[in-house]
Amino acid sequence: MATEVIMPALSPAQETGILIEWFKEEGDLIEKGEPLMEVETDKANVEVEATTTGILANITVNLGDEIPVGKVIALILADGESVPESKKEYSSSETKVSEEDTAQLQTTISNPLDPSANLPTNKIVASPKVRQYAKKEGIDLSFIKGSGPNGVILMEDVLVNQSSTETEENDIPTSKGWRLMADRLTESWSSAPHFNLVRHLDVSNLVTYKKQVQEKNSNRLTYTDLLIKLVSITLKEHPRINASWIDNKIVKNSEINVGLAVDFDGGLIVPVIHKTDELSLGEITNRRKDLITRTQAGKLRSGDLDRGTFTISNLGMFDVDSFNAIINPPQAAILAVGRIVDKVVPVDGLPAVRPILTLNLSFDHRVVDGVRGAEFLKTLSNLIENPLQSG
Amino acid sequence: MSMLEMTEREITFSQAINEALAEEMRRDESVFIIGEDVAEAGTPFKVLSGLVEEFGTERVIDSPISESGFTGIGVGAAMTGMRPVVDIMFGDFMTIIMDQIANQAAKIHYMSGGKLKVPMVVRTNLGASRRSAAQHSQSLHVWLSHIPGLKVILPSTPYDAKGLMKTAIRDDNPVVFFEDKMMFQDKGKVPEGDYTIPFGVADIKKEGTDITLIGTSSMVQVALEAADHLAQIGISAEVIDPRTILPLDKKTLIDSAIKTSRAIVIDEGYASYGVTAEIASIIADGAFYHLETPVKRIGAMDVPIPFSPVLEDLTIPSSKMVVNMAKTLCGRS
Repeated sequence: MATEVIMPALSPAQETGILIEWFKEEGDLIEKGEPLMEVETDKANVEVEATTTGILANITVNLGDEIPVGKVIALILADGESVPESKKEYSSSETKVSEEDTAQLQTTISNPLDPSANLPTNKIVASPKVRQYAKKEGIDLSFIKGSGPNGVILMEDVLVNQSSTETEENDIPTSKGWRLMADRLTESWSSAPHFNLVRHLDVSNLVTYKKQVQEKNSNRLTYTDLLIKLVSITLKEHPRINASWIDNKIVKNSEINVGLAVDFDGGLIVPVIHKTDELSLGEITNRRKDLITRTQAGKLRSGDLDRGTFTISNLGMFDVDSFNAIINPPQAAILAVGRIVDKVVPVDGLPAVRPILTLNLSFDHRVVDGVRGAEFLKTLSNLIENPLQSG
Repeated sequence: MSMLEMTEREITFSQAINEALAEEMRRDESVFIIGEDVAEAGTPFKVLSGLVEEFGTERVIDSPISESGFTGIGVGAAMTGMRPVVDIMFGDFMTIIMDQIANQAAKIHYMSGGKLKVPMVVRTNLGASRRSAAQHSQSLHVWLSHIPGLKVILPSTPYDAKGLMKTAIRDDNPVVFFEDKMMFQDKGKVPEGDYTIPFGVADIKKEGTDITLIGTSSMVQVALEAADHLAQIGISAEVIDPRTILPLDKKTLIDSAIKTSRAIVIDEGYASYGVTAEIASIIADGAFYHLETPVKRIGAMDVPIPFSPVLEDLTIPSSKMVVNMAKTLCGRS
């Protein structure tokens, strides 16, 4: 009997794979264990071996195609066998639901806690509500990515998809998170009058301080951790910066909650560490580590994104010297952090090489004016240049 | 009665039952109580305390230990014009009276072409967690719910208990009335004087928009507790109490599931072939095209109820189980 070659799932979360190369052509003999094809996943490129010996036949996909996991893409025929008629009918986009598949679906649905565990991934899996709605509205569900367990399409996914405009050929598909970011930053940029204050700081003491603290701690400390701590101390001294423009009034925030700009799934997300002014440096490190890990794993909890009062965005790791950041509304300020780079600077009238960090603060002029912003930056700069004063 | 009386007075579940029985016995001389330890002892749970003093041993009758015998007396008395309230000390003893209930009481109205009726109430209980072991902890109400000709009542609050008991006594056909042993001391607002609650009308105990929690008997309290937890994480749960599972108010259940798109059914009987299965099936059928997730069920674990407190607590549905399941269904786990 012909053996089906399917797009394999090479990682648990993988939904599709891109076919990079066939190592054999149709009609070639392939032996079990021989490399058959190369597949690109979101993680890596992987060579896939043949699971049986036979003749490669009936390739139904093109190189470069993005193929759903589980889809039959070719056959390996035993000696003397030809391509069965039923297989020839398969077009590249068609999926068929057999009675056996339906039975499998029902069995899995009876699983008490995970309604969609092990659902076949090569067919459209949508809630009954979605199916009814799609039928009524004439929506093709095969183009909608499900956000439910194991990719089940829920109503929210359909509604989000509908609200976005028609997808043209050259459009890059955008996630809901991306569109949310676009909306929020447009709102900030067009409603909050931005101004920026920039300072170059000699961070020799900070570098030394970080080393000293690191020696006493097992968890890896980052400059971001230090900046969260120092920013929180400064915000406490300058509550005017820890405020928001709401309904034509300046409203002070009672808590100091520092958000961190994080790249997640190709978009910006700002998880928040709450009450950072009450946390020790060690606690900040632990929280930051946990938060970033969960952000990148897509496991944020409710509240993780809420109630931020100030944001830090650090692009130093990308060798950026300085940049203007857009304020994360309704906050009044955002700190853009560049890299630390050795520069020749005058020290006591002589040239010296010192590690220099450039801070670039964006403020909402409705809440903070130049002088108040400068005072905040001065306190922060003093702390960064003399971190021991922070206690 | 005035609204003031309605809102001011709080009594226990047990007092509400006692009050309903006393008021009905004063109203209608054909009402009498028969069962083990109902008179002198006022039942092991003291629910009937004081009734024998008021109504005498002719109307509050201590029977020998013979459930099938005195249930048969009840059926016969009912056929000849009385309105007996037969007290079955533990719901587990349903096993013994099943022939009187299922083959006699439930059938006579039909088989006599309407010439005979059995206006009898069987008062009994359900529910575990009293450390009473496997023969005194079962919730067997589903057995009765399987028999056409019976009505099965599961009150969850003192208010519902009094109103439903009065309706049960006045009903011209056999009614089985299950009280959760763990609810007797629960307090709630109960009006003084006469009021009734119709059978087959579910009560929305709490309104919500994200998920429907259907609870029966004491599981209503479990559902409400779960709803409070869920509210803290931003999930708005609607809690519905069918109050009577036979007849069942299907429309309210289905409408709620249509509104929220998700439902969990919680009942203290065994999950397999249980009340939860029937209700889940009704919702899946009636609300199918409005559901985002499969209808889920939580019932007692399919084991004899253990005597060990630690083990016993594991076998019955908890608010934590409901919360976890609701979070999963709402994509929040």
